[in-house]
Amino acid sequence: MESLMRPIRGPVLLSVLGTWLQALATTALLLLVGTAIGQIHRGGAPETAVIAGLFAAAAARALLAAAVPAITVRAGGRLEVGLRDRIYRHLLRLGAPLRSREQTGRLVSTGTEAVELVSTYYATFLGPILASMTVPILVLVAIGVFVDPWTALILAIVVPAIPLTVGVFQRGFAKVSDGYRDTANHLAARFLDALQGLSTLKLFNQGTAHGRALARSSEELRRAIMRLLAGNQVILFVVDTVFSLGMITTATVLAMVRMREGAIDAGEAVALVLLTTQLVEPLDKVGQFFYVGMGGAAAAKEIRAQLAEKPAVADTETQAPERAGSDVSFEGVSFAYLPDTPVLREVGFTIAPGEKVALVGPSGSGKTTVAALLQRNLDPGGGVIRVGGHDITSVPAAWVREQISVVAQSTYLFTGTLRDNLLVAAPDADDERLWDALRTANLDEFVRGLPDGLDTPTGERGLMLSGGQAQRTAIARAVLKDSPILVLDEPTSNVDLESEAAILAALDRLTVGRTVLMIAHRLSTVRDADRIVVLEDGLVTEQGSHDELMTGGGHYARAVRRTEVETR
Amino acid sequence: MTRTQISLRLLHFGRPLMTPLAVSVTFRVLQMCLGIALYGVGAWGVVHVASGDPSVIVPVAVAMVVMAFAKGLFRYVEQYAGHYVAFKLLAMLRDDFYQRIEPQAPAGVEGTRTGDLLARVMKDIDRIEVFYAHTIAPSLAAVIVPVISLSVLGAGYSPVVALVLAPFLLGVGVVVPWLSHRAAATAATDLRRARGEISQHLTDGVQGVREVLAFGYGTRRLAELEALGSSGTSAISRLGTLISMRRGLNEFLVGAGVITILLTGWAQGLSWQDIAVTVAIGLATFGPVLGVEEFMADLEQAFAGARRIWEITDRPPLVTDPPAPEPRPATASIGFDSVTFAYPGQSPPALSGVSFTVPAGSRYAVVGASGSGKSTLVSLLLRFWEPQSGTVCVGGTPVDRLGLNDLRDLVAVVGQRTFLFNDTVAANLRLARPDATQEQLEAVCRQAALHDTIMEMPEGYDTVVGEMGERLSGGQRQRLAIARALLKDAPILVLDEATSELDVHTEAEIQRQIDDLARGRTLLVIAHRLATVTDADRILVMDRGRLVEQGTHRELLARQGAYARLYARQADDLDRAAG
Ligand SMILES: Nc1ncnc2c1ncn2[C@@H]1O[C@H](COP(=O)(O)OP(=O)(O)OP(=O)(O)O)[C@@H](O)[C@H]1O
Ligand SMILES: Nc1ncnc2c1ncn2[C@@H]1O[C@H](COP(=O)(O)OP(=O)(O)OP(=O)(O)O)[C@@H](O)[C@H]1O
Ligand SMILES: [Mg+2]
Ligand SMILES: [Mg+2]
Repeated sequence: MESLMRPIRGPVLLSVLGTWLQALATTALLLLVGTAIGQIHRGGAPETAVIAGLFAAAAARALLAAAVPAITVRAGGRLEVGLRDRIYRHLLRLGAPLRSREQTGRLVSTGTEAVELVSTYYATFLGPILASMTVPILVLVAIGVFVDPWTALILAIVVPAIPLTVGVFQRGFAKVSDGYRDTANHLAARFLDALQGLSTLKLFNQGTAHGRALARSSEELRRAIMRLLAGNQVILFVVDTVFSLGMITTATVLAMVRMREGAIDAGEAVALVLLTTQLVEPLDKVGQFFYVGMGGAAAAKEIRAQLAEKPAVADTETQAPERAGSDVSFEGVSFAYLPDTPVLREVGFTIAPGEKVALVGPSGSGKTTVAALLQRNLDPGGGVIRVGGHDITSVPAAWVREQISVVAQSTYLFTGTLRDNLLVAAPDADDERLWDALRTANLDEFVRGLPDGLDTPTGERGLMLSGGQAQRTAIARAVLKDSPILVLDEPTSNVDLESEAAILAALDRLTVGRTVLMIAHRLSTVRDADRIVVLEDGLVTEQGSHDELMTGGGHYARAVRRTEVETR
Repeated sequence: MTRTQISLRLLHFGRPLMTPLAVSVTFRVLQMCLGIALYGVGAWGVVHVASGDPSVIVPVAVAMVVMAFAKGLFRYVEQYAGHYVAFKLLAMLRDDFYQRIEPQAPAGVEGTRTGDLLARVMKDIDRIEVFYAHTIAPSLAAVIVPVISLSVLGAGYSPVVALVLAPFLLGVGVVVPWLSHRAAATAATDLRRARGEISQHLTDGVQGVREVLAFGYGTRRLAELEALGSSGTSAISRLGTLISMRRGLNEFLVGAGVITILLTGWAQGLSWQDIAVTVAIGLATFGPVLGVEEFMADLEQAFAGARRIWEITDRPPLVTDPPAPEPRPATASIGFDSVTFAYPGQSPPALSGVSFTVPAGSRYAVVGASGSGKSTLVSLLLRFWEPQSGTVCVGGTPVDRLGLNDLRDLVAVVGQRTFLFNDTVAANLRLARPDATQEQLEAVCRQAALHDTIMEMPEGYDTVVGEMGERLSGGQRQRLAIARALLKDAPILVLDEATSELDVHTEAEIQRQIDDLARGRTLLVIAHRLATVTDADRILVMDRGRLVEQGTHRELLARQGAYARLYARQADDLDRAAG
């Protein structure tokens, strides 16, 4: 809790101070009103000094009332930016495994809504509420000093009830607020999934039905919350009544009794009644800030939980290696996503610097997993993976990733323009380099034909491009990165043969001297590899050159023959 | 849209909840009046005792206990009814949002910024809730309560005191909030927009986390996030300045108001008792009026949020059901007649003058370079978009004269970019047919060569596939999409690069199953790998949005045109592959 708030501790303390001072100014104002009434009671006019004091107190209140939000609101904005930065930084540490485990909508909700709630909570709520819980003590001291010590003492008995009731209140509502946050996140995740899959829903005429299901689940959750609220709000009722009774009534009765006894005069008695507004202040705050306070506390819990999550792939703090080769080796690498379902078993192969190796095999045999392990998106369960001779678990992940350019099997393009997406790989590339990369990906002609050229929006996830265009953009992006190792996972699955041939030829020219791992189903893509590794069901079953493999009757040879038969 | 228009529209939307809303408002007013009366009675009791009448102590105490109790009860009712309205409205608003955006899909949604849409449907709607739950009741209370207490003051004590108090109340409740509303509106709009941008940025940043890491894009991504954040912070700071200014002015007016009552009462020659009571009532009356300032800041955000919601929901859907839909066609032929279509904002049309017919029950293939418009053909067939000219027919009926549901029931599609929901395998399949039995699921998965793979997963058909099918391999995702389309069992089956990520063995297996299954159905296959299309009844060759050739494999080879060239290249590749 402390650590989330740390960046704005100063402003929060200031706001506590400001709220206290404001309460003191208010107390002074009301005491002076009492004094003035007392003077009128005694048949005189209110003294000029008293009137001056009244105005001074009013002005001081106004200044302090303005100062507190001026400090806190800004601090809240700052805290927000800082928190969001911490959360996204942490998400990056959690890395690729996040994608198969978490729901984006949830994470986005934590990074936006929860962050905003927490910032408002710490910046604009915590200080004032802490202050106003203690304000009654100040007021009682003032009453004790200026009005009547006995009244102050009797009222003081009630004071401990304030934090107590607030505590009860918090606990009572914590369940509602936690539940509410959880609901909101769940709903966010479902909405994002629905919005991104809306076309698919339409395709199956399920748009309306899905909407009904969404509405139903949110209705259920609403009911649950209302039930909880109906119970918990009873606390509010009790607190409200007890405070009104305890504070206002007790103070009034005391005022009347003490006045009858002659211990205080009429003006003081009136001041006492007016001062009870100050005593019930904490209650008002608690009621007012129900959402802010409780929502903020729940959101803080959520953010802390998110930040406490341990990355599956632990990065090392070591120095990046000085010199790097571009050879790759897998030595007895095993891996499983789920316990007891091994995906890779003792996979071993090497790629010499500048060598081009093709990885082929049936769908689901683990090819993409090999690529993910190489990029350190996953940690091997057993065995060692080396890049440039370094065990990749002993060097920084960022260094490993720097050595590798990837075209992933499922292309991800960012919302933005073609240029934005290319610059992802090389932030300071000039247009000439961009066009070169586009040429390699055989996309230059298309882009030249666009009215906005490089500034054409790609749409979210590249959906405003054709399948092949999106894929070629990804190829161009990988080319721009210009790393010694190139990993291509089905890079041309959605590209027509003509472009494919052009792309492969261009890549061939470009990859001279680079290490290439090419995953492909299309045999035309594989033919020029120096070596072919066949992966079946997580095991390397064959490896060798095309000619070597064709002599046997394995997966590869059968695949080549099948294609021949079909085409002839 | 002006604030009044927005308010009216929001009130209109909230009509079904008028009763609980009225309850909440009534009890709020009662509760606040009691709050004021509590002080009034207290002050009254004190002055009576001071005038030498100690007998009032007990009745005053009793009255106060009763009033305090009633106040607590009323507050409970107010809060409960208020929350009821708030949560109900949130659900209603979200439901309405979905219902209005659903008909706009896919044309209006595909490729748009869903992260921003998410911010709208979640956060902007949350803001709108402020309008109902925290504006209506307080603003009514801010009018009613002062009117009552001014009347009491005027009638019971001194009209002059009531008169001098009124401007202070107006100042706090009307003038000060009004002073800054324009600046506040701009800041609120900026803030809502920044929030939407941030949500979009995070959505991209999470879904593309692999690419962010692979390209060392993380630091830049964080910098971008911070830049977006600071545009939000600047809006927040502006709002903060306005709040601070309003609070300061208001508190000064309250103080000055109380002093003025005191002095006016004295100048008017009121008894000290009356002065005490008027001061107490006056002071308490500011409470509900100050409520206006409290909701002002949030109200501007509610208005900005409402604008952002309607910006989306008020867009007319691109395609709608015809007023009198024709009956479902009996046959399943496909006809394109000089169809020309360009995506909005794209100058070269994606299709120009495309005409062809696919007779019912036949098997056609579409080939052509990437970007030549193949997938667009499918979108038009499903009437996802409306062509600029020409007609698309199914079974001889133009698609725009069919009911949308009927049309989409006729066609099963395996899209080029499959989308799987973050749900179980079974649930993803049942999208195609909600009432399918387990046996039916297994049957289609066998046909898609997926059943064995699914059975190897620890939870079988109940395996959750992850967001967009992340927990499956690329080929498994494609096979699931194929199985899903097969389950739909529609008369027209369209496969758009449906097997692009499958190895040749699996592909051949599925091909065989589909051939069996497709008998009697109209089949349209889009593929880059020619091997999969050579035995089609007819092959359509697309090039830059035009249909340049069509015919059987042999005819097209004989023509020595584009297809023959493409084919020669593939054969050449294979020769080289075969060594
Ligand atoms: N995140 C994940 N969680 C659980 N299982 C997974 C996950 N990702 C992949 N798998 C499983 O691991 C196996 C290997 O997947 P991988 O993506 O490596 O296959 P592949 O060889 O690339 O297949 P394809 O050619 O179809 O792309 C598959 O059975 C798949 O279901
Ligand atoms: N939503 C969209 N908005 C704007 N332009 C689009 C959109 N979808 C496709 N296009 C453009 O329309 C043209 C045709 O696209 P289409 O998807 O039909 O091509 P395709 O033949 O299916 O290509 P591929 O083989 O690469 O899938 C392309 O130039 C593409 O950039
Ligand atoms: Mg794969
Ligand atoms: Mg396409």
